Amino acid sequence: MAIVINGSGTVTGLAVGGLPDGTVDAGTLATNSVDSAELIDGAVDDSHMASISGRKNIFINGDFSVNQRGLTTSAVTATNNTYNIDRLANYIVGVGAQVALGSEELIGGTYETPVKYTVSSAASGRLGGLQKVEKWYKGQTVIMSAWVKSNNANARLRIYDGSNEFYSSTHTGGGAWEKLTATGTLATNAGQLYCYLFIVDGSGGSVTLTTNDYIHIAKYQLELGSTATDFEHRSYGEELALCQRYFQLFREGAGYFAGNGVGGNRIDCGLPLAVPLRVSPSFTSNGYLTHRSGNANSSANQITAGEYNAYSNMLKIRCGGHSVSDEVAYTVRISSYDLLVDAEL
Amino acid sequence: MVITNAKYIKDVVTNENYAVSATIDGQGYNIPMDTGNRHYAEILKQVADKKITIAEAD
Repeated sequence: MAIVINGSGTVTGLAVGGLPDGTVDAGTLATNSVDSAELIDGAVDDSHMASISGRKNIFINGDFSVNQRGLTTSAVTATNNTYNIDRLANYIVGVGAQVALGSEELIGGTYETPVKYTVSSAASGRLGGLQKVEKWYKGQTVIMSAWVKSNNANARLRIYDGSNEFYSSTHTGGGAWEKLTATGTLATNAGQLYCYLFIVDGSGGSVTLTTNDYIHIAKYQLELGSTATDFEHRSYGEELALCQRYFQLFREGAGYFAGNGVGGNRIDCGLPLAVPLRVSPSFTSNGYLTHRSGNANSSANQITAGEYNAYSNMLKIRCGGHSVSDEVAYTVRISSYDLLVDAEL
Repeated sequence: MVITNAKYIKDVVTNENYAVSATIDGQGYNIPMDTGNRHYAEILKQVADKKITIAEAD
């Protein structure tokens, strides 16, 4: 007998397999019915802890909580392979497209702000975004999950390691939020790890896209293993620090940096970083100027990186376009526009 | 990436090139000559493919 019940109706024995799968769930376990005193050492082993352990999401900013670039609910033109929000690169091929940050809404049981891609000019093309993962997890099985909303039945996920590609099933195109998953074992010689959320055909090719076709994305996650678990919300501070390895924003006018005149037209100074950058960064020429002590602006928005070190919180920057004296101390601040420091993949 | 107006930036002290300015997808950038930088890597690729050239510094 699988379950032994004595004459008083008390359960006194339970055979292996006595409780079939699904018999015990959250609804059948009363609060405090199983406490630590009742779990002997080894009762729950590591292989069963994956679904409840922390730091499981390999993606950074999977809930779009960090938004250093300032994407808003007002749609802006989305350009292929550029970033409008931290860590999510646009993937726009063949069509004109816009991107916006959605208002908070209930998605899969939690309140989220999705990223919304919309076709603005119809054509045969591809629409969506991707996260480029720095570590390639060679030879390991991974699973990608995301909440996706679309009016196109070709919306899907894709994991690509440079040779192998793994797709999810497609969204129904019914305009509601659906959770999609894609899984596969990455090649032992993987040369990249790009994970897409987009509208494409079954082999990653273009499809007919009409104006106002859309894909909305929320809670995207990449985990080791083949079981997609609930989305992990990390703290904002932790997520921000992770994002700043790839991009940092210095507000116009925020602070003075100590520098030194080099030759007759350049000031070299130290830029204090929030965290060390992934690589020596590009600086976007968005109209910023550098303003130096002596009340003079640079003649051009020409900051370039120098003396990069992967472990340093200080980056030497060269601020060109000044009229200075060699080997004289100056202070410098960013003027007119924000300084965008880009070390993305 | 659509890259135009690529041009070296020269160090005033050493007189050697140390960065590249370029317009990428319509956005101006000042880019270090570091192959780990995605912009510089793409510039090198397009130079190798003979799609663009990098002009000498002023």
